[in-house]
Amino acid sequence: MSMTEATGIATVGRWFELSQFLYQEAALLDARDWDGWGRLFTSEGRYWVPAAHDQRDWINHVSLVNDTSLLRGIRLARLKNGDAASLHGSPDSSHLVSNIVIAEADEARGRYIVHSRFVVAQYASWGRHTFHGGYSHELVRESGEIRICLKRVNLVDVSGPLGDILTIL
Amino acid sequence: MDANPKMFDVDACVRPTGVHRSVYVETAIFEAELTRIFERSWVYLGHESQVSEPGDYYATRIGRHPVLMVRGQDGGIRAFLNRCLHKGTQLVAEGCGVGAKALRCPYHGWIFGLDGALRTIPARAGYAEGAARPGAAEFALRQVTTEQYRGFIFVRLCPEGPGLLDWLGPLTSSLDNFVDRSPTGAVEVAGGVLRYEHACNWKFFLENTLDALHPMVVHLEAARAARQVAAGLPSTQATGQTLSTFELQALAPFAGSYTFYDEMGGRALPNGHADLGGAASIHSAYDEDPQYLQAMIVGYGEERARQILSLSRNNSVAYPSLMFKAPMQLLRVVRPLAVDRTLIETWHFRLKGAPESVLARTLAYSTLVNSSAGMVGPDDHQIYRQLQSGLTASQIEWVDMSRYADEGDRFPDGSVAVKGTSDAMARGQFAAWRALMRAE
Repeated sequence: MSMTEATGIATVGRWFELSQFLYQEAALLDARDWDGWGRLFTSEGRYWVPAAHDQRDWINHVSLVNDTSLLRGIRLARLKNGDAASLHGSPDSSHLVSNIVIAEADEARGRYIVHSRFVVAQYASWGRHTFHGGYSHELVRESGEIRICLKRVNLVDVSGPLGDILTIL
Repeated sequence: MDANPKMFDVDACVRPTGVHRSVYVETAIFEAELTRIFERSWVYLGHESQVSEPGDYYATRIGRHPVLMVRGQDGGIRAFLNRCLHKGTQLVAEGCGVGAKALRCPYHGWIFGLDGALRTIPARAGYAEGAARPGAAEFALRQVTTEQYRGFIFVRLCPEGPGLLDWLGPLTSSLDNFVDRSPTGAVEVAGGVLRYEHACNWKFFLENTLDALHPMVVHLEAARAARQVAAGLPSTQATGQTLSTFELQALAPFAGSYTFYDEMGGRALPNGHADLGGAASIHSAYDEDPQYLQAMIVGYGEERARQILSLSRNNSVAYPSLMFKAPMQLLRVVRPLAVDRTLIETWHFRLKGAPESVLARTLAYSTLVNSSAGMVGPDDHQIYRQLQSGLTASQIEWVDMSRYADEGDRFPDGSVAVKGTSDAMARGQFAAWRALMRAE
């Protein structure tokens, strides 16, 4: 086997591993395993849904979601007990993830940026909605496990008007 | 004005302590509101900072009219119906644009100046002499009446009516407080906009922003989840000056007691306007950035600075189209789309001369509360949806607004000081509704 082939096989292996990670994340959300999903993040990990195309940060521009671990805890607590008016009837979701590309890889530090596209269906008692867009996951290997530093969700219709986003995208 | 003005009886829709359910669910009433309320009132259009340079424009809708405001070469801001005088094409898409030299219709290429005058017709042959020609008044963009108060621009589509100051009355002091919170007395739009479509009648939103009987029920869950998470934090983090901590501070008062909300007080004002809060609000216990306090003292002197910051009006409503939070530098525009569809836009403001942390806090609040993926707004929206659905029950006709009827201290400026949980603010909205819907 040539060096090129070996590198190629390693790349495919990494792509397979990171793709599986995204699929498993989607499966946790669809299974409503909120704690399991929360554990995918590093302690500083952030779940971010910008409110504009090409939004550069979450400080100088409003966001749809900007969950630090603390806010993620509040969001997950609401989802778990389901007592909030908007969460009655337990909105369900179906996440489809595709077009997965490793945009950047730093093997020495175990850091990766992965781009993908999604279709997320949200089913609530009052109606259903389908969200479309792209993910950008900034991932890091911690103690052998892949963890999320930043999950950025780029909705194609982010300019709105938008209806309720009750599920985690 | 309406196709069939006899379809409903305005006087039969409003009584002293309640309203008839039809005002929320009947399409004929909604269509009449677009004409009689949204064309007769001063409706919020935008802020002057959205068109800061000549050629900058902002396009939105006022009721059923597309409206465009643009800053002219002379520096003046004008508003026009956003409709070409030729075939009726909407000239520019909703949203903002910068540095336009002129406005060109995308259909047949007629060109209008920033002052609205018709400048150029690409093919003039065939039009009768004196008709469609450059400068013809008949083909100038249709200007609509605007007035501004401290940079907030309002439009009145009906040519006749009271001036803006008369219309706003004592509510101007709440807009003053919004702007005075800038150490230099100036604010500008910043940090983007949220556009959240609600599946409900527009009036539920306006009433709810002044309803202090719902937070401890509808938002208890958000406050409880915040408390639960805060309890698990190490104590240094729970008291630190971080944005995250701000968010815990922001969620906690949503579970405030009835006494807390009663004591913050409110004002019911003429023409449907009102405030909830004053002496205190859900925002008044936040930690303030010491640099901001210092900037305010430098700007105003200590006594005046403390006076400005001690007034904390939670939510103010400029009927029928605007809710604003003076202590949080944000406003929400109510855009009726259909009897059961309303667009709510949230705009944020930078206090000029204040540290950037103040804008960051405004944006953090809005992300948490006003976003369609937030911890507060979607719960309100679900209640509006259930109101819209519940009120289709035609065998029960009336909606109650009787709490603290006839209580409150009346002042010479027309304001009435009331308890925070009073229905007086909602009653005031419907007194204005009735007066506007009746006026010939």
